[in-house]
Amino acid sequence: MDDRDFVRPDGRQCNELRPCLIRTHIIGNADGSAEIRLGNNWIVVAVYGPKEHHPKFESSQDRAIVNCRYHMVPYSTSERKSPKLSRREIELSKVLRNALEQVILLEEFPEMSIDVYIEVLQADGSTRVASLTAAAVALAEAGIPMKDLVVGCTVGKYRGRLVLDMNEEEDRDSDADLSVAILPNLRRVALLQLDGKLTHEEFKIAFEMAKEGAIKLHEEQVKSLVKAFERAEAKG
Amino acid sequence: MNEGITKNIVIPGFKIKCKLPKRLFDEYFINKVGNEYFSSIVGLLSCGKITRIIPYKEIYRPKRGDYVVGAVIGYAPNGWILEIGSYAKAFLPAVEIIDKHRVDMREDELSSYLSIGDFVGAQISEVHKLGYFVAIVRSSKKKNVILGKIKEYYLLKISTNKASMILSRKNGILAQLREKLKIDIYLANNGVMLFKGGTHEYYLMSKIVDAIESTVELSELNSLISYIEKEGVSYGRS
Repeated sequence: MDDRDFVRPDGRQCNELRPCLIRTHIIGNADGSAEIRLGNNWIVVAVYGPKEHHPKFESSQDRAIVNCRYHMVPYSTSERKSPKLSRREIELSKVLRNALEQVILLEEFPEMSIDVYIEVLQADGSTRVASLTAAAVALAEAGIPMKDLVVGCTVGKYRGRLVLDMNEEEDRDSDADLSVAILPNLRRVALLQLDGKLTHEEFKIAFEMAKEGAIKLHEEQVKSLVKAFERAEAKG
Repeated sequence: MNEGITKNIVIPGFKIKCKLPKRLFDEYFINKVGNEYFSSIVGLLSCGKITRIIPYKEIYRPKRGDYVVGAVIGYAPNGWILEIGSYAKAFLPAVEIIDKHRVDMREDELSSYLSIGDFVGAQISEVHKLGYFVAIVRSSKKKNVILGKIKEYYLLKISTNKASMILSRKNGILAQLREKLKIDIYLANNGVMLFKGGTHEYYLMSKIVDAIESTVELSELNSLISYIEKEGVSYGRS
């Protein structure tokens, strides 16, 4: 069966993204904030800082420290999740922090810290890359200097086919899940995680698919930031 | 007037194609990778004789010599801690306020000079690489600014990128405002606007601040002066 004839549970094509909407300035009290709705995913990100890092002895003398907290609210999944940070969330917080550290010009703010709070209000697969996409927009909105926007996308192997931007249902039955985050203008990879097995050829195709998906999401990021700028210009 | 100037919105990672000066003024806004230049913030790129990025939102980064208005938020063993609207706090040494050759902390109670919540006008004398600033008052040679504890002044806040744009123009908007409105106005580099007056002046100044905040380029603000004069009349001062 050709890839074009293969229909996914939600009726999408193999290389089709879910509808995506990114909005900025969601939380008035934060220095920068953004919201992403990718299919049924609904994630809100708030950024605070740069500000003095406490405790002082943990601060770095040559760069700022990024504190990232990825958290899923109890009602984000079909079964109630404990509000306590799970091991998965702690791991993802670290993974996302590492990806964000690659884009922020941290050396501009020694001894400071930048806090990134990611709240998953509704989860439907690929939340880590969706969070990263929204976090980059929130950081840019906060006026934090960055090398580039970081944007991510997933590709999975579902029923023997490589599919772009997997949802929860596909994720559960998938044989492999590849998460990729890139810096589209600088052409660098910020995050690469593979769960499961892919052949060398499959990996190459999956990586290219993820890159193409990420570039499409990058257009949404740009659109949201340009809209925010125009809104500020038109205000008053 | 704006011939040869092109403007477009840039976001982090956008390649800057227009010619850049040898020495970049805002290295902070422009990121160099190899021989290519990229924008590092969201803003308006203005390409002309001077290439620059007007930021959408800017984090105030004090420079040596900047005039700032800060609020006292705490005490240090030998001075005060000021919040100046930047990413780090400023330190104001006790000798800068207490008029003595030698300050003895056992005798001089800091809160009797400046207490928490007081506003102070000061000059930045030191920008430490490790993220703290030293403010001075007595030893400052800055003219035409309010130094020390601020009393009987209204304070309004504008964004720091707008403040730097206003202050970079000598005899510009600030001088015109002083002349036309006959209000004693001062603007600090951290975006705090100080002025004296009553309700009428406060009304006018809040209108001006709104107008400043809503324009991206201050070249458009030249028409603001006429608007202010009109507002002043329509407010009904008899």
